Amino acid sequence: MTMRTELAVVGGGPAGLAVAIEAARRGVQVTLVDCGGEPGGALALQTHAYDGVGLYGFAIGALLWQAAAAGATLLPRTLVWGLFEDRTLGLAINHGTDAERSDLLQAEIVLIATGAVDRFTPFPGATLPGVLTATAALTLFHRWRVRPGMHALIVGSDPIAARVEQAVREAGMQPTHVPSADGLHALAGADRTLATVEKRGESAAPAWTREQDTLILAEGMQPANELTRMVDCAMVWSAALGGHVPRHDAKMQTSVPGVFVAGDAAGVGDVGSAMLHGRVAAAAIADRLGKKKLAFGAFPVTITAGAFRPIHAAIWQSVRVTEAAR
Amino acid sequence: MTDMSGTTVCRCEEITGAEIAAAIAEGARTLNDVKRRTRAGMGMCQGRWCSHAIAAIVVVETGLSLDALAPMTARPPVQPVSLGVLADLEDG
Repeated sequence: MTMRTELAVVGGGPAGLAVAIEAARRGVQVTLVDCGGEPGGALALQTHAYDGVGLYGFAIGALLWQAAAAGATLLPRTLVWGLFEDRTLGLAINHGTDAERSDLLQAEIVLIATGAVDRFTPFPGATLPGVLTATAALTLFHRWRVRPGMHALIVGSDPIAARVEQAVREAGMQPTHVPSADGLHALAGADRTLATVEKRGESAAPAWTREQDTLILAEGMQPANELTRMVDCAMVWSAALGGHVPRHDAKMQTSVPGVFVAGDAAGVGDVGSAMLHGRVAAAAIADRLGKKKLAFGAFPVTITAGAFRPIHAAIWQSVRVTEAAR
Repeated sequence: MTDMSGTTVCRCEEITGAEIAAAIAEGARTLNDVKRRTRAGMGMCQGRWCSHAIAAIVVVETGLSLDALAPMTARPPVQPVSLGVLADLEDG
């Protein structure tokens, strides 16, 4: 049984939810699909501090999810396992549970907001227990309330490293943060994994081995771009945006007509830029579908003045990079 | 870049840096080439863990630049699903 919708949004993080809210307000029939078991995507794994006020990401996610539910059909715990040329999506509903079942969703327009995944460089011992990427560590802390050890070595200077360090402290662990590491090794000790960092280059300091039972890698994130690649969107390499991003115009449409992109999947940025991308895309999609309804009322989540600078820079950076690559 | 010959680069298929370098020595020039010869990127994570490192090794071994290396071809399913999910689909 194939379901039909005007706009299929893949991903229920800040970008996807912003699209769903804005498009629905403009009269678009929206179906949003998210594979997670809780609302908000990566938001559920983060703590945000704006102007010194901490706000848990899961609270933002829940707010946005509620707002989206008012106008859109939301399908949580549903995996989009395939996206096809004719804009059919293969769905695994209740993915990962005994009640898993199959369905297809045919969309006039698809918006991909699948976010980002960790990027890191393997090193000897990287497969030992206690070696985690940033998202894995944040999942253990925020979703499962599990402390992976007592002494964490956090390697990397990506913005996510700060969130990891905060989570490590909240969990009562001892963090050591190293912005970068040459010659990183993890070794199997008697009863725990040990980390060695050799600093080469300008530093004359000798190699040191720390009794760190947890090694968290926060090198950076890369766009989760499998679905855009699956339908042959033209991809552009951008180191600034985390890797291969789908080439897109200022209205967030990719090189494939009817396929739009928003959020980290369009280029790694932050929550503010993800939501702004989403709203730009939603407006363009509504226009494309001939919807004339005027959106009414304030957008449900406030973003403080301090966030506007990074939003502006991230938006123009992504457009400049992708336009220059034509 | 650190020597990765003994390091596991593709964790899902247990492919080392040395095997990837060998594939390149035999003529592999793209991520898809490396994938076909070694199975790196064909496992459960479909290259999420290893693509970045494979590209870095190709750059070191061939002098090609990162922006000239296309990503691997993406095939459904994007994550593992049970056969039942696929068998469940009705025709049309």
